[in-house]
Amino acid sequence: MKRALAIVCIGAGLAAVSAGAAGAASRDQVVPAHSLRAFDGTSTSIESMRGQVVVLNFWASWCAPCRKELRLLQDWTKGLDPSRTRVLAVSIDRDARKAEKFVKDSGLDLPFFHDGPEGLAKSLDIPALPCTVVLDRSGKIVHVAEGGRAETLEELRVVVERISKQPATATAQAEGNG
Amino acid sequence: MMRGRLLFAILLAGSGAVSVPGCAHVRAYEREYLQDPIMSLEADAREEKANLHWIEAREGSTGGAGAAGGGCACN
Amino acid sequence: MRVQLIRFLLPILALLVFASRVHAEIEEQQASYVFQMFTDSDAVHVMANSGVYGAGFTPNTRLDVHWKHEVVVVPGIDAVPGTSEAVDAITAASRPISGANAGFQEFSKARNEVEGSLRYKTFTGGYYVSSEEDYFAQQLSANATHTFFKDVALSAGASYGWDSIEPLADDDGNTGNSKKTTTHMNVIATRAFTPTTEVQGGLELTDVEGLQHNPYRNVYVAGSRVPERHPESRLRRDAFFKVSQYLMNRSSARLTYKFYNDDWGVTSHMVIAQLNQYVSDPIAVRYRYRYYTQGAADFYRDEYTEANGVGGYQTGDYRLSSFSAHLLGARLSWGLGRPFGWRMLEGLQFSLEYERYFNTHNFSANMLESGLSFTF
Repeated sequence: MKRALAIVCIGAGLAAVSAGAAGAASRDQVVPAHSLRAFDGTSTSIESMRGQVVVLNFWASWCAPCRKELRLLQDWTKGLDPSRTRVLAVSIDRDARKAEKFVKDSGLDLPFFHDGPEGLAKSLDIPALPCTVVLDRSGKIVHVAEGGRAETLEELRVVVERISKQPATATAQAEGNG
Repeated sequence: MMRGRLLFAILLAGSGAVSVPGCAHVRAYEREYLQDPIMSLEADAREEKANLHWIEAREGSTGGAGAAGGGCACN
Repeated sequence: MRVQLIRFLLPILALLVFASRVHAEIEEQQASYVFQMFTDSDAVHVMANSGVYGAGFTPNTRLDVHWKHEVVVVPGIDAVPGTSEAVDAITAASRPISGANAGFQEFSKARNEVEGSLRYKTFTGGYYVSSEEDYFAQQLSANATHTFFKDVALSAGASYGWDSIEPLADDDGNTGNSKKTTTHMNVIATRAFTPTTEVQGGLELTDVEGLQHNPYRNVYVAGSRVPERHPESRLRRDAFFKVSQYLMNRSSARLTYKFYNDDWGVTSHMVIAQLNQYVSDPIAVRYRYRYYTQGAADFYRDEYTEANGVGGYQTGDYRLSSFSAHLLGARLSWGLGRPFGWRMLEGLQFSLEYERYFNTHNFSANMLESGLSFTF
């Protein structure tokens, strides 16, 4: 009886039927036109950054791994050439005030924006939080990284350096110069 | 005894059903309310485990905290 | 027993020193302190001080240490040992009766408890030790969690406890030194069904072997006082189900149901209804109602008329009888933020809780708890 119940306990825990993973931001997808609002009220559009490599880091004040990653991200951005690469830390908090309070209390100095849960994060259907999406100079997604570990940021550095060295495409040149 | 086993079997099936996907997947950017401290099941479990000693000292059952409390002469 | 406790504390302290030397950067430290006070209708009162310290040593490793010091005071029994009035079946603490003022004096006992747990990625291991004059308990535990399909978190845990019981001298006659072991397994699944609904279900199995009666308690059986005697084996099972729902007015409701039964014949049902509400941004209130009902153990009798009890067992423990219980309580949590602007105290939180418990055995109790916790 004891053995049967023990097996049932374990079996109940393993009783799961695959329903397939959810859809997520996919490579080669072009990011749709979208404006992001900074905490000072100014707006920046993703399209205006064509011609540069864009690193979008999605975070939320309620996400503990996000808070940890932002500190690592700040150190990581110091090694980047700002004329070639833009890093944007995009909050998906419902209430922008919570995000703003976190930024103020943390003392972090990154380009922070607020977009809420129904904006770009939903359009791209980001698979996890924190999530970092790298766009090439034509606005195409080339890399999606989940989780806030130091190893993730090292992978991102390799990707950003590789894309930065690639010549801009004709499309990207036209849009960047437009 | 039979009724007890039947109820146990129903709860067993219910616990298994929690594991079975079938409803829409909750996206990462939709989890703000679930992460709110007032929704925390983990905090609940910690408190239940801390309460196990005095509860078990006054009642005949155990469990519900997701862990066995350590022993004591609390009887 | 105190020397033994210190001996077992040393490995935990050594682990802390090792961890702090090997890993220079300590992340997300948390500390908390809780004071609890319990008084009941039999004038038993318990005061407990406890604390927790936790720290993340790497992104994947976390150590938590919990300690507790508890003192229970049991009032004197207003009757001569050996009389029916002195057969104390209600008290929540074991108590010996010895000496000239046997029973008339209040009895006080202290318990110390330490528990350490180490988490690496999704695995957690723990060690627990509890020491009091007549009872020394240890437990090893392990737990693993895994998320399937991004929505289902599955947790499986097990623990093994081994207790050493050395009853104090007792004029009423007591059981000699004894042992007890507890083997426990559980599996719990948690799933978010909607952005505002979370559900959890769990199954638990506990096997207890060894001494399971109060070594100081006697029972009247067919007109004679005999020591209490319970079976030395007990298989306990329970299943529980929780539903937690976020409500749009910054509150949440939770409903919990637990079913329990064991091979002593005890079957119970428990329901908890809970409401959490933000009063303002840093202040939240929780209201809780718990209803519990159980049936009696197979060998429980209000009066034993046969010389060998029921199948050789006899109990004076009301916890094995049929009864119902209610618990009502409220808890206030207040995030103090950075009092006086001290960054070190960021995340400081104060909590205050009161609960009232009463059952159909005319037993009632009040619990008061206050606590402070902070992240630094």
